Amino acid sequence: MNWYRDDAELDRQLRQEILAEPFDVSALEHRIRKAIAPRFPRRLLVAASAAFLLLLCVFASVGLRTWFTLQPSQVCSDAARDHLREIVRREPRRWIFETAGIDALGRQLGVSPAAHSRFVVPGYRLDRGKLCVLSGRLFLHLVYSNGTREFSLFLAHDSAPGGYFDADFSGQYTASVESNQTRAVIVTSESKAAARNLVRVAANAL
Amino acid sequence: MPHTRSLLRVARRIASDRATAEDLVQQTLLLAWRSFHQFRAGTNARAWLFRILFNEFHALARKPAVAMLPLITELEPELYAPDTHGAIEMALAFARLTLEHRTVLLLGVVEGFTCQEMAEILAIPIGTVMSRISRARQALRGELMGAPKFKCSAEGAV
Repeated sequence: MNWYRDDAELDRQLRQEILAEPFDVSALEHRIRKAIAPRFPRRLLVAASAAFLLLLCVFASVGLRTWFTLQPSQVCSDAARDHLREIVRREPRRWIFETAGIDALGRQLGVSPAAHSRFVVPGYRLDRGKLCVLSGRLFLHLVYSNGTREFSLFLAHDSAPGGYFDADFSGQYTASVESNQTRAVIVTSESKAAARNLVRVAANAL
Repeated sequence: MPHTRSLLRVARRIASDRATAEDLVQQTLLLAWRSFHQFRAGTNARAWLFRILFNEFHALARKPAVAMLPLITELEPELYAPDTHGAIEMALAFARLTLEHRTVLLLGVVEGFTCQEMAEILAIPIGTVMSRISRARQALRGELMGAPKFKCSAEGAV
């Protein structure tokens, strides 16, 4: 045991013993890496989540509102297309000619039978009716006839207040108005003035 | 992380237990990470890390609730894995040294720092480092000369 009398040998022995120590630093390094890994601040995360949910609610609300709100221009466009096919071109459809049957259809849609019974246009009578879809919503499609000419009245329950709208689609004059939570759309081949006049009568009847 | 092993090797011989040593190294590296802007390019990064380690060690030791700076007198089987009687004697002798002596031997002899670097790490004059390392060697020598001889028994080294 004289080796340790020499400084260099003493150091060598000490170094050898300590450096030979086996130990694993992987767990410690993992902990350190985890600690320095960038983390999203909790408060910011909560705020971002809240903002996201709020935006989601807003978009959902706007989306649902848009979904359930009838767009008069789209409704009139669809109504004009239906009128052109079913009344002007007389494409075959299953019509109901009995008033009781037409009233039953109206009740299904929340449209009071009184609405169309009060709708009286001199020289015209209610000829037939059926259900149809305009702008993704069910409408009661009524056809009035004076024996030679016909026009269409489309009715649907609509709680969203909407202004008056009229337009000409492929020669079919349309006018739309909301009154007493019912949307009325007139389509006629006669003239825009005739459509306006008819929809005014319909609005009074509703 | 190239210096973790060196830091932990030293921390395990100055801290009270392995868990404290690992916490010390973790705290050292986290502090280094956060204050990396304070590191001067071109200087010794390893010495900088050890200076942080010892600063943290002294800060921890000042906390009254934390029991630090024990004089290791018992051989920790995990810490030392010698395979000869001479190695066990060395391990025990080193463990019996004071903290100051262990520190300078670890930094100077094992980790290979110069006296100047040790003076900066430990924030003491270079002359103190030189005399302390000389006294540390003498103390180690003394421990080795006075160390009881190991015998192997059925229970292991005693």
